[in-house]
Amino acid sequence: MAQDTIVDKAFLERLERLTLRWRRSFPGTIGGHHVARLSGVGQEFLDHRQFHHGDDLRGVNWRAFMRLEKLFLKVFHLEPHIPIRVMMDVSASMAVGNPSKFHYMQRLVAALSYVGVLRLETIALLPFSGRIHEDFVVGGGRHRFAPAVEFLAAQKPAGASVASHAVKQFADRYLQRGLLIVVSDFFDEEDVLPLWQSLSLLGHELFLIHLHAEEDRTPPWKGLLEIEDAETGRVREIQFDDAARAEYEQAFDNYARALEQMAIRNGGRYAGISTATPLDDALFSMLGQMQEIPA
Amino acid sequence: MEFFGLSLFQFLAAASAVSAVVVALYFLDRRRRRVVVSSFRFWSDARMERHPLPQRRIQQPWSLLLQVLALLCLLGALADVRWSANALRSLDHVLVLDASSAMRATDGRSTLLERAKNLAIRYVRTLPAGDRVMVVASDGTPQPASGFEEDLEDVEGAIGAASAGSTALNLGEALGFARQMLARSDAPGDIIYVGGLWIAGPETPPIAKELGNLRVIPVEAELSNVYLEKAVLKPSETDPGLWMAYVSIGNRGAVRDVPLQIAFGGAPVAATRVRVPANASVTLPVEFRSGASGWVDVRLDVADGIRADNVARVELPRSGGVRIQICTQSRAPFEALAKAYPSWRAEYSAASPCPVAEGADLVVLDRVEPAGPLSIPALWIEPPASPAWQTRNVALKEAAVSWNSASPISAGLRAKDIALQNVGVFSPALADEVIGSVSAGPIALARRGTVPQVAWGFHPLLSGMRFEVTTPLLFANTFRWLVAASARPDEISIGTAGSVLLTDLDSAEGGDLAVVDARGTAMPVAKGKDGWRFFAGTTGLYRVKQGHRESIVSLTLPEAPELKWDPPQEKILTGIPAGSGLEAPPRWWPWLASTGLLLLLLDAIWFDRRGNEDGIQAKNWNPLARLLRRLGWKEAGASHGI
Repeated sequence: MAQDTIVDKAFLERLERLTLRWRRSFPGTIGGHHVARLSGVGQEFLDHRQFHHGDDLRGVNWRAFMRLEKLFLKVFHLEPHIPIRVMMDVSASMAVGNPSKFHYMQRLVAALSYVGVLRLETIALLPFSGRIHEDFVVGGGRHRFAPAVEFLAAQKPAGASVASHAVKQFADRYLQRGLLIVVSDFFDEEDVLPLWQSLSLLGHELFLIHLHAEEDRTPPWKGLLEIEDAETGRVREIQFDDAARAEYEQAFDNYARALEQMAIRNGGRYAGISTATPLDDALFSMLGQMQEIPA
Repeated sequence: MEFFGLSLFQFLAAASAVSAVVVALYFLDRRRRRVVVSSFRFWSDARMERHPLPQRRIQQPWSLLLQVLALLCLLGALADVRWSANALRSLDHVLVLDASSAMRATDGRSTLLERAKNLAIRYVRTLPAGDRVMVVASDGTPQPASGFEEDLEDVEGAIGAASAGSTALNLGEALGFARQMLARSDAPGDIIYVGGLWIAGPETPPIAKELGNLRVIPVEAELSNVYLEKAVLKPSETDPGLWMAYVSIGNRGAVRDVPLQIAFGGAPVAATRVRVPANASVTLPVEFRSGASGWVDVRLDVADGIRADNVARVELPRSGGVRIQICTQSRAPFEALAKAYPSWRAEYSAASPCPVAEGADLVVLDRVEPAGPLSIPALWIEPPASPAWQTRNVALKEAAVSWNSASPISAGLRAKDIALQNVGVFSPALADEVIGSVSAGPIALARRGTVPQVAWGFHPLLSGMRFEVTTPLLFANTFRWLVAASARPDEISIGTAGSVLLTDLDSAEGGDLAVVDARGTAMPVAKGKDGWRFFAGTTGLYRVKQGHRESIVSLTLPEAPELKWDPPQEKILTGIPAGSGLEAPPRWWPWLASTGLLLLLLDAIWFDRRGNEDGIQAKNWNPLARLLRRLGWKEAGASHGI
């Protein structure tokens, strides 16, 4: 079973107390489970306002009318149905690491999907490398989780990552704003920060999950190295020592910090996760923070 | 330190070469690691781009150190490293191992030679590695048993293969040979003599005092020995079956009464008891009778140090003379001739054709034909005309006979004016050898073949030649040629091997002197001040031929030494381990081999794991690590291979 190779049942049981949340208030069709700051049809009381002609009489506070002889209308929080989209990097660079980033990502996305379907959210899984591949939409309860796992298990890391193409495709294809979770190592040779930022400007809430293997941040090698780019296959010969390693780590940390700042500045979130971190810890830490965010 | 088969410098050179190979492998094989990274994005920011030239540094110096140490240990195990002093000095040694006849002496447990071998091997094992040893086994003549060898096993093998000879030690020859060999080698060194100090000759050779680098390892033993010095067997001039044996007995030790026995064909034919004074020799005659051929043993029944010189053996020829059948109508002249030669036993027959008597050694056909085909040598005198002998009678006007000096039949015949009036002149066949001839043609022929034959065209006993001195000589030469056995030896000597002085030789005929051994090999003969000498290195029978004389020299006795050498005390080498066992110095190779393998294993476990933890590709060259991996061994944190 593909499900067993990615997540096990005991792990899933521990996920049942988690919930996916987001910061922004999105407009959307009624029927969601997360209240928005917008007023509208909902269960949770928001405020009163003067009754205007044309308002729904079902919202009039008749008790106040009886006491004050004025018409006041009750306003409720809007509870729209918000799409959750997970962009999964399936480029060849995700195969690096032990365990590989790709495998770690499969388990992480599976866990997020399970949490989503458990709360009756609709989650679209969007694998991408040079472009967005065929997506898979999962929603409607935990019984829909197994096909999502099979979809994840069928993915293979291959090709070079071209974020600009993928972002453009996403912007063209998915117009409704929602939560966009991007799981990637963000190893593009071009500057990808403005690209992802453009999606935020389009109204999507970004949640950047920056996956990296230990060797991605701290290369363990020393001496004369012949390094090969996992995506392009190009080879370079370099001399690598402790000083060079320190500079490398500094560059990596700077990049991760830039990603984080970009996400936060645009109302999103960032999580840098090493594949050496147990998935339980990473997931509970990441989603636990989400629970604290007031809706 | 000793390095089996390797000098210290050779060992260090080999170790340096191995270490250099390992370091080069580290540079070449581990210098460049191919790793797969997610992206080049941050690599270009690192400092390595500013100094891209490779710095050839060893990545894992401790691993390199472990591997070099391991290989040095293994190399040391292969080289059989042993502890010894003087490792840097390399000398050449000539080991003169006494293999003379005296080294056959035994004390009941071991011979002197075996003890000398043990001492020699013990001495060789004390030599430092790199020293070369040449083994010379010497008795009367020095024989190199090996070249200059560094390999201890080869030297010990050469020592072990030495066997005692039959001659006494010629110390001067042995030391001279050793000095010559040492002079040819490049390195300085010693001459080491190992033996019982018993030598030939009346006095110590001067070279033994001249050599400053001579060392002596004596094999101490008291040599008490009674021995046969010589025995001479002579046939009686008057009695064909009687022999006289003159036996010389020597004694090195206290006075002893020893029984002497002469046996013919294993049966005693004479026995006596001899009292031999201390350190002296006696000679006594012993008579015995024998008419047939066979082995004669002269034996001393005594238990002493050397048993081999108590028995002498010689092959005795038949002494009954030559049986000659004479087919003739004129018996009287032959009877007169036969009386002059006691060893001839003539039988006469007047029949014509003449039947050949059974058991005859040769037949004389005087103007008759044989009754059948000839099976024994024959002398034809004036043969009847036949296809075998084509003759024509010729009347000679002048008696001028020319003898073939190259033929043994006519050897010594010089008379030319022989009174011959009528002779038969032969028409010789191609294979016939002309012995004598006149102006009309050959009158005497010799025909070789399975049955040798001689034909005369004249009758020496019925012509004017009967009164010539040539006649009996011609008969004797012809009979000796026809039947070699007819030439009975004058005497048979039983002596010792070694240098043999030939006595009773005609010095004028020295050019005809020849000595051959039992296999027919001619021995070199040299004329010295006291006469002709030849050297017999081994015991056996030797034939001495000179002209028409032939004698047998039996050298079945080993040569006895004459003198015990007393070397100066400072030349005597001491300090050789006197233990009963031949224990070699302790060898370290098992420990070195174990240590080397252990170090390799540690290197494989520690550094192969670390290499994998460091992300080094699994193609680590370490063969042991590869083997362990193949056997299922997994390191923690392994399988990083991408």
